[in-house]
Amino acid sequence: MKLAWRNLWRNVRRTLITMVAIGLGLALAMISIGLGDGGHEQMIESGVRMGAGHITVQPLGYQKNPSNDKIITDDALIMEALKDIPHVREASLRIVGKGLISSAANSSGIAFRAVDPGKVGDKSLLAPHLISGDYLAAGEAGGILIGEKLAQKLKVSVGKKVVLMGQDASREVSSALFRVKGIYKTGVSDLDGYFCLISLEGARQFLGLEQGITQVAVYLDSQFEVEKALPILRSRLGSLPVEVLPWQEVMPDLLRFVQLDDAGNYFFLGIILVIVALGILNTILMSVLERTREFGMMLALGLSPRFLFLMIIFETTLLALLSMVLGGGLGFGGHHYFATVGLDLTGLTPERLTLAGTIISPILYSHLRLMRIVGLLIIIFLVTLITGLYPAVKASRLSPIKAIYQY
Amino acid sequence: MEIVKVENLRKIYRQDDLEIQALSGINLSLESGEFTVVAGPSGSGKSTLLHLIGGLDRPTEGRILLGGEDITRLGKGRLSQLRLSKIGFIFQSYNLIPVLTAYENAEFILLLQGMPYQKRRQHVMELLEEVGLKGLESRRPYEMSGGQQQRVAVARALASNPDLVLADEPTANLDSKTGLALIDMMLDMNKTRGVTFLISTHDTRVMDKARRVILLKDGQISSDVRVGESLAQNNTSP
Repeated sequence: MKLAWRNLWRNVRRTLITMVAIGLGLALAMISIGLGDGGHEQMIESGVRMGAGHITVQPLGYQKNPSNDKIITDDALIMEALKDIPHVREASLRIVGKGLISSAANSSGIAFRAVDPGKVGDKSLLAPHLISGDYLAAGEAGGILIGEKLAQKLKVSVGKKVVLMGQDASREVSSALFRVKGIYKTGVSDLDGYFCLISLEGARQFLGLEQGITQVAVYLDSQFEVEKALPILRSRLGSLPVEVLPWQEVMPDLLRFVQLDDAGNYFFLGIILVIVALGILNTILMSVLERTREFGMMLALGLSPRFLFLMIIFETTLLALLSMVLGGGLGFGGHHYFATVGLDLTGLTPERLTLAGTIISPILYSHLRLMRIVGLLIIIFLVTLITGLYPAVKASRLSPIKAIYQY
Repeated sequence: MEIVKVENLRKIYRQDDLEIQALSGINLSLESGEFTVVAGPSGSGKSTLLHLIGGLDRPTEGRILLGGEDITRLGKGRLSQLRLSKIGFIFQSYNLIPVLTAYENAEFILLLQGMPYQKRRQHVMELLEEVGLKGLESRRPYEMSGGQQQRVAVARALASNPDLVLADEPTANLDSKTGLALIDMMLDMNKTRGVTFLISTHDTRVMDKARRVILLKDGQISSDVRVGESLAQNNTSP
C-alpha cells in the first residue's frame, strides 16, 4: 500500500493532471445529470400541473376513448380512498370535455376543464398567467377563463359573454352562457388558443349533471412518490369502474421526450467516461512502461507476478479514489450553485419555452438524487479499475531478464 | 556441502533465423561458503550463467541443482519463492526501488516473506550497520552515492539469509576505490556470515580478491582456478 501510494506521486505533475481530468469528468457528469434531472423534474411537475396530476383517476376506458358521457359518480368514495395514502398533497375533482365556444364575432372548438376554484393545485396552473381579469371565484357558476389567442379569435375581453356548446352525459347537445372572468397567456399554444377553465358548478349546469365528475387529479409531494402511492390507490379502488393511471400513461408524449433526452444525456456521459478511461490508461500505462526495469528487478528478487498485478491495481484504485474526491467536491459545488442560483437560459430561449405540451422555465435548477450519484461513482470506479487491468496484466507477465536488460 | 551443481548447461538464444550459443556444456559445482568470481570478456556468457543459476531464465539443455533441487523443472511461482528465500541478487546498476528509503529497500524482501515488524526492523538495522550505512537509513536512492546504493543492494541481498548471493558485475558502475571497498565488504560478509557468493566481473582487481576464479570464453569454462593453484594446472579448455 505504501509502495503504491509513493509510486502514484513519483510524477506529481502527471498524477495531478490525470486527477484533474478524471475529477473534471466526474464533476461535469454530476452537473450534467443534476441539470438534466432537474430540468426533467421541472417539466414533469409543469406537465402534471397542466395535465391531470401525478395520478389520474378517470372512468374506465376514458384514456383510450374520451367522451363527455363517461362520468364518475363515486367521487366521494375516491376521495375517501385517498385519505392517509402517504405523500398525497391534494386531490382535485374535475369535469373535462370538448365543445364549441362562440361569441358574437366567431366560434372555435375547445377543450374545457371544470375545477373547484378553491383548489390550490388547479389555481396554480393559470392564475399566475392572467393578463386581465381575475381567477374563478368559489360559488360562481358563470365565469370562464380563456387564453389570449382564443380571446383574440372570439374578439372578446373580460366581462363579455360567450356560449359553450357540447354533448351532455345523455349524448344530447347542450349549451350554457358564460361570462369571461379572466384572460391568461401561458405561451403554450394549445392552452392559449384551445383551453378554457370553468367551475364544477358551471360545468354541471352546462352538461345537465346533478352530480358526478370525469376525473380526479391526484397531486403528490413529488413525482418520485408515484410508484408508492399508485398500487395502494389501485387496490383500494379495484371494485370501482375507474382506471387509475400514472402521469406517464396520461402524458405519453412527455414521457417519451424525457426518455429521449435522457438517452442523449447518457450518450454524453458515455463520452465523458471514455475520456476518463483514456486519461487513466495513459497515466498508468506510462507509469508501468517507465518502471519496466524496476518491475523486472522486483520479480527477480522474488516478488510474485500476482503481487505486482495487485500493486498496480491498487495504484489505479488510489488514483480513482483521489480523483473521485476531487471530482465529487467540484461536482457538488457546481450542483449546489445550479440548485440555488439555477442555470439561466433566458438569453438562449424564446420568452416562453414549451416542450411536449408543457411550459419549461428558462432557468434550470439542478437536482441530484443520491442513487444517481452513487451509480455514477460506481461506474467511474469500475471504469478506472477495468482500465488499470491492461497495464497490470502487462506488468505481471514481464520476464525479469528482459525487463532488467532491455529497458 | 555442495550448494550449486550445474550439469551440461547449454543456452541458445534465437533471433529470427540466427542462433547465438551463449553457453555450451557448462559443468561446475559450488560448495557452501565459497567466494567465487566468474570472469571473462563481454559476451562470454557470465551474466547468462548467473541468470540461469538464479532461476531468472531457463536453459536450452542441462540441469541446475540448487541445494539438491533441480530448478530447471520448476514453475514460475515456485521459482519466485525460491529466489525470495534462497537467492540474493546484486545487479550491475544499483537497481533499488527509487521511492523507498535505504531501510525500506533492504526491508523489501522481508516484507514479502512476511517477517514480523519487530524482528524485521532489528534485522534490517543490523544489516545496514554491517554494510556501513548506519545513519543513512531514511535516505532515498537519489540521496546516496553509487557506492552507498550498492551497499544497500548488498544489505537487501543478504536480508533473507540466502544460501547463495549472485552478483552480476556489482562494481561495473563504481570507481575503483569504491568498487574494491564493496568487494572487501562482500568478502567480510562471506567470512562472518558464511554466505556463498558467485560474482561475475571482468575487473581484474575483483578477480584478485576471489578465492576461486572461473574463466569463461565463448560460452565454455576455459579455466577454473582456486587460490594457490596456477592457471596452467587448472585449464579445462579443450
